[in-house]
Amino acid sequence: MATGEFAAHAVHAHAAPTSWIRRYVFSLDHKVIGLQYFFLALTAVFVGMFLSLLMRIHLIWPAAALPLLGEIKPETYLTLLTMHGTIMVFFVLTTAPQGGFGNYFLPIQIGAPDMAFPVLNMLSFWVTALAFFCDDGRLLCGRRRTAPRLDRLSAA
Amino acid sequence: MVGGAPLHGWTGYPPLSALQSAGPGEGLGADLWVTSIALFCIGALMSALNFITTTLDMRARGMTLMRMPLTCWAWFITAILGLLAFGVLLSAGILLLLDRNAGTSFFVPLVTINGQLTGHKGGSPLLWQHLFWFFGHPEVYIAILPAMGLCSQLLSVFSRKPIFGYKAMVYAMLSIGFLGFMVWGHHMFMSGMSPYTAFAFSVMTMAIGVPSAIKTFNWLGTIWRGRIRFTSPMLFALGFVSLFISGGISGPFLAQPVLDIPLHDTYFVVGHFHLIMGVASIFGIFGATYYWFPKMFGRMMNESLARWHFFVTLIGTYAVFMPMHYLGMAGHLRRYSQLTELNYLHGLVPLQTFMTYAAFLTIAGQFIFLFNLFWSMKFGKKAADNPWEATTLEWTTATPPPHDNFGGHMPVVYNGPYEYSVPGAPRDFVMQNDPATVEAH
Amino acid sequence: MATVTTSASVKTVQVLLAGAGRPDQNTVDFAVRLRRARLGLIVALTAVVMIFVSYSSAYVVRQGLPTLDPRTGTLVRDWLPLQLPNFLLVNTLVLLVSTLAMELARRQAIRTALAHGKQSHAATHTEMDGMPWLGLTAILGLSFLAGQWLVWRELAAAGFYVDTSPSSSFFYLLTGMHGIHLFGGILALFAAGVASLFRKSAASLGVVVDATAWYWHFMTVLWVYILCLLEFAR
Repeated sequence: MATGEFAAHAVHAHAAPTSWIRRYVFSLDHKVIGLQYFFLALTAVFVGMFLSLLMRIHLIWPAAALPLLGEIKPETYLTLLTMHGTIMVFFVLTTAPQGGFGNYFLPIQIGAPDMAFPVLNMLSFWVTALAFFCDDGRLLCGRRRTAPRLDRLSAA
Repeated sequence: MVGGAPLHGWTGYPPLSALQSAGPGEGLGADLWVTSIALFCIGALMSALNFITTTLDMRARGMTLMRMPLTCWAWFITAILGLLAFGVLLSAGILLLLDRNAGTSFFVPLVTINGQLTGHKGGSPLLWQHLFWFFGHPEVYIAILPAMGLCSQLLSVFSRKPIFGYKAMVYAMLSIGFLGFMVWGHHMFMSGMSPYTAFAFSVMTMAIGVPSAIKTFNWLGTIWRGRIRFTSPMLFALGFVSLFISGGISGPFLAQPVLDIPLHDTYFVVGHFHLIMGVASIFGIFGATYYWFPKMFGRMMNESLARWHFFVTLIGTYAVFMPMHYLGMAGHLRRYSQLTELNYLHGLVPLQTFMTYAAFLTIAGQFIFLFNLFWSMKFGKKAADNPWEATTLEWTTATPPPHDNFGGHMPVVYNGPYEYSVPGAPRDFVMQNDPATVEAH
Repeated sequence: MATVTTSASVKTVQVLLAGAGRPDQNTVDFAVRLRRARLGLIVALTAVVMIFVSYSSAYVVRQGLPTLDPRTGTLVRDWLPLQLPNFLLVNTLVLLVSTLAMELARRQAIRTALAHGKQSHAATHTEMDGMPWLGLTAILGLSFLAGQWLVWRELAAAGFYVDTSPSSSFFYLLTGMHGIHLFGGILALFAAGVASLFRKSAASLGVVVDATAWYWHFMTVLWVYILCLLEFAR
């Protein structure tokens, strides 16, 4: 079924937006969304690398007191590796190659004007971003409080 | 319950992850973690929907499935894997949230914490493991397939040769995707499964090695006798092949249940997956960035900084992760935080120290990339529309592409994606939308 | 290129496209959009299927799992089959009728879309009476959910809460997940209803109602499956 030329007009072709919010924040353009995923992954990878650095420092110098973070306790080490793994696997390795470059270049490489469902695309990015902030928020909060020793838990 | 991030590992095994009082950070921290994962699943499913529908329904005229660049095939297959796998993780996450907050016992058996019963009984941590790894193994292919597609693309462009065995590459990716759903048990060899079950998973895992090897040989076949251009994207593509082989070779060791007994949960596994999934995939991301930066931002990234970045990262990565295989065989278990206090690990401390310094170096090297990225956006050399002389459709658009990608004139495709060094053609590459038909060769 | 169109009305469109004369641009637009929406829906439903496949396998596995009886120190099976309240059959009937109403709404919406294309629903309102079917489906859907809530209360009154026993956990889980998805379908119906009042074209409405209808039918089939699983795989 030769619908090539027709298909281009058929889909509700959204006109180029003008306001800053619609162009860069809630854009429906797969290229902008791809870049949003890419920068989310870029942020995530530096957070993840930082966590791995803390782990490596702790392995060699377990008693070292770091500026701002203090000493890394054993249970904190487990937290570091949990968040390192979660952030790297989900927010870097699954996000950047597929969500980032895939979103940007799949439509262009197959000769399409955009993704099939641009609104869904925009929502999928913001849901992913929300997931990242859920994860990271706890990580940042957690480091400012000290974890209790396990033998005091039964009193909690 | 005090806060803090959870400590149950990215794999989140219950009962540790299922009980609020099981450890520090397992209260609200773990609830947020599970919620975050569930949200991520939903986002990933929505994205997969888009990718699949777009690939099936929106290709330009003449762009048959077998004329798609391998990157598109990779994104398409990855989306299918995600569609089938993330639903399972979402289910497992919901069950975990119920166990944590509603008192159900899907995953929690009869356990005590500090001598006190928790009120749960009858659940099975193994159920979580099955559900998680049924997702978890396709997940690793989701992480690596796009990089494989890109590697094929880059090796072809920068060797000025068609990809060796396009159809085989497509079928290999499809087989990897399909077989990827049948091997999840190899993460659970130590869970007490029957040796016959272990054997079945082991055979399937070895089977995945076949399409992976086909792809590797085809990459080498692509470069063979090519007129290689050692640009930064090409370096990262070659680095990807190197890491894929190094990381891949330790896989068959772990696929043997008998060998997995001493190696499970040691640094051997950590070295394996970091090389083949972590860094290889990241090399794919770097390669993609250097390759497509000119199209996205209209400027070239700095080549000498790129080379420094490449060599520091490649050498640093090998320095950090290769010794882990030795550490694993020596019995160094993963997720241990105190190794200086354990006698039997004393001899390994110098190696760990070396790895830490290598890690410092590697991470420092990433700042070269970060600087290059942002500096080049403003001050990089202005790029032509097709600086790499590649054949795929993104290089026919303006730079950066306009809102609807092709400025109102949807392309019509006449050729395959890898028409390089075509005999009799005026240049050493023929664009996909070039109507001068390429004779079958 | 694979096409997913099956209904007779859209086959007509394909015939138009294949041959005689230049097809109407609006009809082509509609056919393409419809196909794309249906394809998207099939993909989305695949993910939903995977969710319920994993729950089904967890259900079957859990039935066979032993647990340690603290009093006797032996391993016993703790699966107590749940007696399903009869009211569930009434709910099932309501859902089946709603699916019929939904199908009628769908056919009407497609017919209107083919006949009126880009014109807004509001402008052609007097010629169509599509609304009653759509509204009826929504009402029946809400009745189903209300009925499910009543079943939950009946079970709770009998002492079966979500954490009482594994079988009750699964009952609440499966019915709850189905209910959440059905509620999503009801929201889609409301969105279609609202859109029709706001000058959305009959073609757009046709696509939305068609996709929602297939989703709704799937929810009905899924419900029958869940009921059979809970009743016959006890």
